[in-house]
Amino acid sequence: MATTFKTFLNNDVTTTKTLLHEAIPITGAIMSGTYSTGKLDDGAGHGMVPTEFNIKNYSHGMFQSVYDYPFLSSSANHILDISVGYSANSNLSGNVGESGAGTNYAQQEKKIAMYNQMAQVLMGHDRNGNIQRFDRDGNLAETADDKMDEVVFLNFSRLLVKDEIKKGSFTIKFGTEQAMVTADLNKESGTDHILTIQDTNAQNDFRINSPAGEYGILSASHTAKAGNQCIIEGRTSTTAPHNSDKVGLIFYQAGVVVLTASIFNGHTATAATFGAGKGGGLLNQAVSMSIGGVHGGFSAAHKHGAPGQTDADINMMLTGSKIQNIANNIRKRLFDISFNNTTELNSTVYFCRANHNEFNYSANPSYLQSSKIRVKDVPSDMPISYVTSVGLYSPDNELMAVAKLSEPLRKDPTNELTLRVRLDY
Amino acid sequence: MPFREFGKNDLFYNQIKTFPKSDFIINKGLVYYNGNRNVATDDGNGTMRDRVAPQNFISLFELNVNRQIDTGTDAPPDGKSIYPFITKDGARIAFKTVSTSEFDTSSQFAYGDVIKGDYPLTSSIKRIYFSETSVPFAEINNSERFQGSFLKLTNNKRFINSLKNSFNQYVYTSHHFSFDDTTNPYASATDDEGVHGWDKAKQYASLVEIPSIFYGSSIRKGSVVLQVFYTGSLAAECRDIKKDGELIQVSGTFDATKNANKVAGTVLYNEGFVHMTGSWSITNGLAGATAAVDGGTEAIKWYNFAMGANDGNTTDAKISFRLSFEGINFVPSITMMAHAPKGEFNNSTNPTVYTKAQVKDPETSATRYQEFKDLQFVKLEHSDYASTGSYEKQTYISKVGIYDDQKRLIGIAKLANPIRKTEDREYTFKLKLDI
Repeated sequence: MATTFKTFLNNDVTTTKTLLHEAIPITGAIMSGTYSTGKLDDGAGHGMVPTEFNIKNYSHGMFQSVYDYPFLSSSANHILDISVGYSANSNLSGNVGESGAGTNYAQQEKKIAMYNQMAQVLMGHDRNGNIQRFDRDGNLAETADDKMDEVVFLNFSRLLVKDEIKKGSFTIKFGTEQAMVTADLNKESGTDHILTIQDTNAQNDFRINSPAGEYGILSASHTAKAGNQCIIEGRTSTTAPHNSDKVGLIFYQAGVVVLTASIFNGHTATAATFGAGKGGGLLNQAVSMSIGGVHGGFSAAHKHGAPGQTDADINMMLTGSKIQNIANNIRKRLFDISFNNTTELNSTVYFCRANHNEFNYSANPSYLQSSKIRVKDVPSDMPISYVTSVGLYSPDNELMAVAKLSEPLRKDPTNELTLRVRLDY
Repeated sequence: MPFREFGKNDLFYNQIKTFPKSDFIINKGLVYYNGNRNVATDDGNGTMRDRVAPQNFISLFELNVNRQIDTGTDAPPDGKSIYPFITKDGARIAFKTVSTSEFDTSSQFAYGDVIKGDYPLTSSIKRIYFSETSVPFAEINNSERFQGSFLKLTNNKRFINSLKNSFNQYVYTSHHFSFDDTTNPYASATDDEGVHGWDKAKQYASLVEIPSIFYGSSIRKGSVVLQVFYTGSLAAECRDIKKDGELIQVSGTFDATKNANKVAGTVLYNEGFVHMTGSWSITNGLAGATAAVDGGTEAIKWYNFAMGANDGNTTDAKISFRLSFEGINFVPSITMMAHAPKGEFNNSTNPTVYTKAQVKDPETSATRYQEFKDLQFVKLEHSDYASTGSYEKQTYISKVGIYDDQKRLIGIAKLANPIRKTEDREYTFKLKLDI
């Protein structure tokens, strides 16, 4: 025990910030497949549909939750929520409120409300109080129509995101085999046609004009260089081209990924693309989707997707299918997700300096034996002590913390010590 | 609705005291926690896990549930399971599993290298056995650095010696906590059946470590029960019947009268340790009721207690140990009194408060802007003669919103049934929030 206090000076105290990361791999098998036990009647008139016990659907139907284990178990962790939405500016919103024979519109208002709710939180409002729509490049000032009006939302849980997603680490892959059966990644097929979406170089190039924090631009690449599923850049049509370098946004602190639904759609209205809102997509041809992953017959008479319909594209699903059914299709096509999260560790480092003429004596009762210094045999030798711990005191001399050394350090007038004490919080 | 600020007498900060119970059965080198028998499978690395953790361990966050633990060999994101990593830098922060020397060795980790950990973080009880020794330490003579000789603890004696101060601070409750009773001036031959004069650093002993995740703030005094079973029948039992930390034999089959009321060990309630030193036989003469100790075989004694609890040992299947206790865990809670006084909260901004089929467009002109002129409220009648009663301002309170000092909604309390609020009624809603 030292007999004196030594006051810290300005140069003796510094703060540091260390970033702790976690690698988060989410395989497609967890998203769909691992916890399927067969088919059950969903009670909604769709007949026997696959039942997955790690997928939670809600009566409000606004989103679908994915767990890493059957959610009725206390061992389950919430991974993410999936939802979709489109803007009131979208061509798909023209039939809101329609109903009747030959039409099949589902949850139109909810999808618009979902888009607006997410957009106002993530993108904010403009000077007139209007909700900012999701912008492909994050440049809200430019006049070019590069808005994403039909989007898929992936809201990751705070358990996985922690303080934020590490910029430049996010990757999500989808199987884009045109037919749903071959794109079912649980069957270990469909891997020839993988659409990879990443926030490449986002650590050096991200946006800060969101009220929800920083966000990056997601770009896409594809394993197929030709054929129906290859990416078609800069198509000519009545709407803006959907280029592969801007297919979505990732909000790092919020832990939300916004993907344009056009990544599942064909680039023109020709060929084998289906339904209303034709084309406008990233791929050569649209991928096929169906309600609950169940394939049924396609009715050409239906303008929009119907339950059990095989050849529904994403636009038809957006107008004619429930959010949870669209989420089912997206999960089926999900190959994997990978990102690193970040937790900030703040530390204060105290440099405790023992000069040559300091702390060479101890007030510890065991320092003396028979009125002699225990560690010194010859009276003429230099004073000597062994430092075993460092006490940190408040300005009014109250002991606040004790730092212990792994082994005692010898201190005598011939040496000086600087003990680096780090306090994490 | 208007805001109403909580007064100084409206907020109460309390804590709920809970007693989580834990029960461990140790049999044939396996531990069963709270009666669960794990259906363990190989996690791909040779460790048997039941979904999330090895047998009898509990997982801290239950990450990587039911999946192979694979942190990969390359830089992240290589690997199939969730794992933490950190970059070695001047802050010198690493995981606890990385020692200082490993951290400093550049052949292991250079600055800028990624240091990986793994999940899940798990916990369970562990037993440490101490052999009897004449001295717990050895003298080291070859240290120039430490100016000659010094004493170094041998084998695993450091685990018991590190608890010396913890034991000694409870001597005021029982002299059995005295770490070194040979120098205890209060040791008495008449105290406690004449047992005295021990040194815990030298004794045969079994130390059971109980991580705090199993009990919370401390173990509940008097709740610890230790039992030894032979082929399913109780052979001996210890309890802290005086609630002072002494584990006293209250039941036994061998030499029951002689060994009754003997102190077989102590329990450190705040630190989570059970220390058993009782050296009398409790299964003498029973076939298979033996333990392999220090190269020999002997009947089960209390200092063999919990043999097989993650200590690498095992016992005959006929012998089972049971350790049960209750913890003390505090759950902080806030109680908020939300008042709806007379004459307040009698109006609503809910659109349904107005009668239907009214024009709600505001009137605008060059000089004024007027909203909802002469709109009629819905008349909520509770009389058989609805048309004759006079109008009375009233609402139905269905929920209470809690706002922070920045007027941000941070919580909503919902009522089971809406409550009618008239001008002459006043209510207080009691909201309780566990935090």
